[in-house]
Amino acid sequence: MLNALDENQRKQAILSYRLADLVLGPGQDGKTIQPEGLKASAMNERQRAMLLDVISEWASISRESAAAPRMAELKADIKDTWFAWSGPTTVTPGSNIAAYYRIQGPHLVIEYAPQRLGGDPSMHVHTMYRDPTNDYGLRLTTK
Amino acid sequence: MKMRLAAAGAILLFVGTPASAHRLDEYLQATTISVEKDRVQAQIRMTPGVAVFPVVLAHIDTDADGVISEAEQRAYAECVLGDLSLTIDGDRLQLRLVSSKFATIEEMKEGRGEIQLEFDADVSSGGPSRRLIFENQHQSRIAAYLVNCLVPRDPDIRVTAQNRDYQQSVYQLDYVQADVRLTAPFFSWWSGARVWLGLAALLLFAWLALLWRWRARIANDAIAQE
Repeated sequence: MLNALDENQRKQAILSYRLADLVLGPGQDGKTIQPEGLKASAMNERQRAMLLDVISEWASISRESAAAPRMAELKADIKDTWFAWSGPTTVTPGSNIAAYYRIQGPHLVIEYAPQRLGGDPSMHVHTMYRDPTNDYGLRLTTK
Repeated sequence: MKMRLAAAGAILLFVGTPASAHRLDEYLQATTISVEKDRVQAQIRMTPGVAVFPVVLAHIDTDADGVISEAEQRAYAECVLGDLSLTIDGDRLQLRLVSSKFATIEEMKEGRGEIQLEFDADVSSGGPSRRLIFENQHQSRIAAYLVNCLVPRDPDIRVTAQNRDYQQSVYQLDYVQADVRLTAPFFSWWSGARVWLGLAALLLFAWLALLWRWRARIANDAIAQE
C-alpha cells in the first residue's frame, strides 16, 4: 500500500513523529480524533482498492453475512477515509511491519502499533478496530 | 443480529508475545485535547512501564509506605500539571484539575495500570484564527508521549493544522472559529482580565480629571475673592 503511493502522497501519509502505542485503545470508546495523513480522495482507484483490501483484513473477520454489509459501508466511505503511517518504510523479508499505521474513516478506526519491548517490535503488536459511531454495538443497543 | 453486533463492535487484539508483557521501559503519557470557543478540555492517560515503575512510584508515594494516599494523588496530579504548558495565541492558560483516577499499585507494577487526569482551562475570546501549543515535559527521560485533538463538537470550529516534534512533547494545533465578531487584533487583545484593567484605568483617569477641575475651580474662586 505504502509503496503504491507517489512521492507527494507519501509525504502526506508518513507522519513525522513517533507513535508509541494506540491512540484509541481500551477505554477510548466513542472518541473521534482529528484525522491525519493522506485522504483517500487524493488516491487513485488502484490505491483506494488496495486500502480497502487492507481494511478488509479487519472488517472481514466475521461471517460473510455480516462482513459483506460492513465492507459495503466502508467502501461507500472510502473517499473520506485517511491513511497515516509512522516508522520504518521498509520491511525485512519474512518479518512483519515494524511501523505504526492508522486508517480512519467516518465509521472506522484501525490502528496497528508494534511495541518496543526489547527484540523485534513486530512480534508484539497492539491493534484496534473500531466503528466510532457504533462502539460495542451501541447503535443497535440504543434503538 | 448477534453477528452484526459482534462485527460492529470494537476489537482489541494483542498479537505475538503473551499479553502479560506490557509496557516495559517507558512511561506512556497519552493526551487528548478538546477545543471549545471559551474552554479547552484535556485528558491525560499515563501508564508506567514495568521497568520504570519504581521511578514513577517514588514520585507518587512520597512517604514510601506502599500506599498511594489521596493527598499523594492530589500532589502528584498537581506536579504533572506543573510540567504541562498550554498556550493559546501566546497567552499561557491556567490549568485546572477536574478529576484524577489512579490504578492500584499492583496493576501499575504489571505495566497495566493507568493514571487518568482530566483538566481544563478557560480561553479568552480572540480572532477567527487561533494557535494552541501544548507541551508535556513530565518525566521526559522515560516518557513516550502521544497527543491528539478530538474532532471539535462545535461545528463553528475547524482544525486547520497539527504539528508535533518527533517525541510529541510539543504539539501545535491551528484552528479557525466561525461567527467571531471581534476580529481585529485590537479587540482580541482587549479581552478577559485586560477589559477590567482598562476599565480601572479609565475610572482612575476620570477621577484625576475631576480632581484637577475641582482644584482649578478652588484656585479661580480664591483669585476672584482677592
